[in-house]
Amino acid sequence: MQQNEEDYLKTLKDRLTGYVSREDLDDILSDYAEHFSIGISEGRSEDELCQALGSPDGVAREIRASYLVKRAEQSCGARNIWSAVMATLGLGLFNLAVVLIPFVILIALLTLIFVAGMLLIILGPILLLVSILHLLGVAVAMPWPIPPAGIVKSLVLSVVGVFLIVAALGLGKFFYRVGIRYLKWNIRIIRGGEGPNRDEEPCLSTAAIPRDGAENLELQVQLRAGDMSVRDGTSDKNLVELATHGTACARPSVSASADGKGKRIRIRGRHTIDRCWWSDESSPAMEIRITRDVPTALEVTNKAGRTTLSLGKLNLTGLRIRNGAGETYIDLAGYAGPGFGAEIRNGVGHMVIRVPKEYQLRIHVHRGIGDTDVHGLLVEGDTYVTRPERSDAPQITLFVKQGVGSLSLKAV
Amino acid sequence: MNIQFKKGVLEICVLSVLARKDCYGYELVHEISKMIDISEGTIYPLLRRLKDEGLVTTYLQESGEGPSRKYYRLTETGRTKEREQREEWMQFAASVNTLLEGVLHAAE
Repeated sequence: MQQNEEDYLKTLKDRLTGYVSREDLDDILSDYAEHFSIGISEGRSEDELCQALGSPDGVAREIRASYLVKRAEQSCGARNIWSAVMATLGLGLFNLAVVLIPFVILIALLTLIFVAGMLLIILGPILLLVSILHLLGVAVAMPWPIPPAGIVKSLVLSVVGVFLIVAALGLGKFFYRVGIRYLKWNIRIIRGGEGPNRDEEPCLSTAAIPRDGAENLELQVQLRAGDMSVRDGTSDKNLVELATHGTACARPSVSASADGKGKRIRIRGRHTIDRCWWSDESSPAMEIRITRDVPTALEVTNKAGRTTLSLGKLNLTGLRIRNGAGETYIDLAGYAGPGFGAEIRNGVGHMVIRVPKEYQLRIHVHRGIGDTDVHGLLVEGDTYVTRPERSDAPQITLFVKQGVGSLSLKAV
Repeated sequence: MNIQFKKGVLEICVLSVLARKDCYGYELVHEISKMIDISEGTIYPLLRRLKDEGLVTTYLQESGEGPSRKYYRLTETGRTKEREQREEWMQFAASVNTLLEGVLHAAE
């Protein structure tokens, strides 16, 4: 039987409707539609593509199964606090003391404060009314010995009531948040699970610095500890984009100043690892993307952590890299700009540098302990060079200081 | 070959293709089905799962002709996982081979 795309997608849709969310369904169908459109553009027939994909029933069954697993995982990833308590309880007797008792005591305390507040809020005005009536000469039982002072006292009671309610709500919110985090941590410890929690990324923050007609860029990036990656590729209107996530919960500080047609940007990650003891994220990470079009002088400092710099597609005019401890990858392959000078210092850790061989390269290496592995470069004293075919090829000069750890230089 | 066999190794295959380069869905499916005979449709659900698990991310990129394509890229977690799984696989495959060869020798 001949099959076609339309029938295939329709069957898939029928078999999935009701099992997966509207959004996911659209997403899944668009994946397969893309598959068909590319396949057809490469000259395969719809029937052939359907055959290769396998029966839509089978595919739908697979998707439904993985969807169920995902839902089950999410529900034990603490959607709400109660199901989290139950889930945690189910995980071990240990938690009876660790989670349930503090949880119940906390709820009782908060309820007590709330109830006291409510009582005062109700009682205050009643006492106030009674005091006023008494003053006016109405014969009622007087709660306070002196009526005018009674009015003041009643008012104070009402205000205290309002304060208590506000405090109870605030505390409730705070403990709710701490509680959720604590429960998640608990579940992870008991399950022996690993990895960050998937249903949220609590410390993700992003920022973009618009281009605003800048004709050159001086970018300084500093990270105290964590993984840093710098590469090309921003949306057209942005000069620099950054995203950070991880333990720190601290947003990086970004300062930008313009000087004529040039722009100076400083990005400092204020990550410290001890900041959030309850955090469930892995090590902090910062990802920076830079536009390909604007000439850029880049300065990167990372005290500790892995530094990955894919700079080959940037229009670099200068480069300074300082890495304290950690692996450093610097990829300049594919660079097509006017040439530049660079200073690269690494303390402890392996370092890999890839450079474009069409350029006249001069790489001065000063190094401590570790192997040096060189590909595609000639040795001239303590300098590695290339002799490109074009004698007028632009120059790149690197000053490399590597402390402890292997160094790999490759001209590609 | 047993279908469960293939399903089991599909994840590590997808991860290691992506470790070499970012791919759009069709390209990835093509790379893998070239080597392993499997229903191409089962790779998409796998990709969704890998995405949910935070091992890959996706982004859209314009193609020369036609609409933009959804590319898949390994995250750092994905890279670590790929290395781990590859190592495990190598060891496992080596042990199985040793065993199988041992059996062959015994039969001779």
